[in-house]
Amino acid sequence: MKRLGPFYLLCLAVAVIGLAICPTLVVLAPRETTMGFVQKIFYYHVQSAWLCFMAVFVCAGGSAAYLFGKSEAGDRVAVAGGELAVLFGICTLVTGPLWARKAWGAYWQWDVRLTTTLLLLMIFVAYLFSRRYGGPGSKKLAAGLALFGAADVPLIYLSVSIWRTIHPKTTVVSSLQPGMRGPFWAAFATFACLFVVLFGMRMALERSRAKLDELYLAAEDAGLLDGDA
Amino acid sequence: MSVVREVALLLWKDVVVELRAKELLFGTVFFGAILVLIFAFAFYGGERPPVDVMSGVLWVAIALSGTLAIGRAFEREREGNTLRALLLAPISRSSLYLSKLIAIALLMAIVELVVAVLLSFMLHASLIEHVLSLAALLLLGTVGFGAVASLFGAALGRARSRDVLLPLLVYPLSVPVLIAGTRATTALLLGEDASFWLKFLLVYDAIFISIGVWVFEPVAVSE
Amino acid sequence: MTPFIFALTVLLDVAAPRNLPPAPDTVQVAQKDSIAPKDSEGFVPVNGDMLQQGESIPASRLVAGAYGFIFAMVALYAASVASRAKRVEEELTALKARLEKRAS
Repeated sequence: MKRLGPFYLLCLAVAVIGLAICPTLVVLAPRETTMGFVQKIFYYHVQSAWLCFMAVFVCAGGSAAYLFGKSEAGDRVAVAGGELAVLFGICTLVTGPLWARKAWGAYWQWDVRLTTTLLLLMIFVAYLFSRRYGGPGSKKLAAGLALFGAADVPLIYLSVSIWRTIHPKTTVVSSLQPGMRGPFWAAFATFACLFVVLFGMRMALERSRAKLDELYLAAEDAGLLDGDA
Repeated sequence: MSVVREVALLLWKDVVVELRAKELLFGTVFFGAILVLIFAFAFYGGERPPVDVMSGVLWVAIALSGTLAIGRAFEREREGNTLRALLLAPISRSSLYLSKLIAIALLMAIVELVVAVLLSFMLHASLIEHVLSLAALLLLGTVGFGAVASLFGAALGRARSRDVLLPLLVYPLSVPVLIAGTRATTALLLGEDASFWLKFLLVYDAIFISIGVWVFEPVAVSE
Repeated sequence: MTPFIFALTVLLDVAAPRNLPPAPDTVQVAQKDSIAPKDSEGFVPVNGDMLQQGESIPASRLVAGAYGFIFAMVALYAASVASRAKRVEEELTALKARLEKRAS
């Protein structure tokens, strides 16, 4: 395994420390007046949602590089991004309803952000599905799906928002009370570093897989695998 | 050869093949009719069902029979190994994609005609009064759906589990079409303004046809 | 370590409100008429009698559940990637060893 770079180690440290202290910071943050204690879900919910969208863009970017630049690294970036999009998408969709139970009185509402995130999650579950079961050429198929999916998000958002909406507006973040800002950005830093760490792990896995495949191919070409395969 | 001529030739080929076999046409139309029947049993309780149900039935029938048609169309190409022959021919990939898209839209137009007529008779939907807007709406919606579905139909040609994967890939991506289609149909049936959704579908079509033309070559033509 | 601190903070918070005097905002809300005004985001301030019948899940448990879920998901994902990586690495070393044996 390759030696870890200083940036990666820094991110790892921030992520671990952040995960350890963030709950404390969040609990100590001022109580929101209208929603009460349940508003604290928001500190992690928003970060998960941001990272989910971030992962989608990473995946689409990697897919584009793979499709048009024939870059194998692009494909590795895309698969790591796709998995993280699903991971953080699930986190967003589970924490959101827990908050909604208190704030809206129901776990699920057909709100624009909820619905968009749900569909985004479905598209990227389909992405992982097609990579897994797509047969030959599935990487290219999945890459096309990632591009379509990324292009689809604004349209889904627009169509659902005209259909119906009750989600808090994005102005929530800029209108945070001063006491809430510290924990919010601390959580942001933690999650961003967590993203880098998980992304790095996934990329390393994909790199070793590529190395393994290469080695198998080379060994087969050299006729070294006959007989004992 | 210009793109228009290539598309026309490929489209003619698809039409002739279909007119000889009539398998896709009959199969899909019959499937659409059965769907309307099933929905009628499910939703028709003696009273006239609400307008939302009518538009829902129409668009669900389009989505389901469209997937069936696309899956079968590419299955046929795969059986005869004709997709490979087409890829070897000196024609641009975009024309291949566009011709498939138009062929699917043509086929679906017939299916939609049958479904709409059945709906207006069996569920007493007043679809006839808004024929022109409805036709424009169905055309835009079908093209949008086909733009996504024909790309993945072609790309899934070699996958073993393509029958399972096709709807899994296509439905989440075509949700905007479904929302716009049902909302606009409901608006038309209630005598309201549906022009926003028509414009929305136009934008959707433009975006997805462009991406489809752009990625068809690398996605569907591998090896 | 992390789960411990996490559990501690949640426990502290669950226990804390009972000993504290009501926060000023709750008093304010209670004094208002039963028709609470909506704020700019369209939310109506929460007060006790607005809870639905049978509504018994305390907010702290929901918050703890949400955090716990995210931690669990991230940990599971990291573990899964790590185990996959370990398997690939093992296969790689095994293959290398086999090839070296063959070559010699």
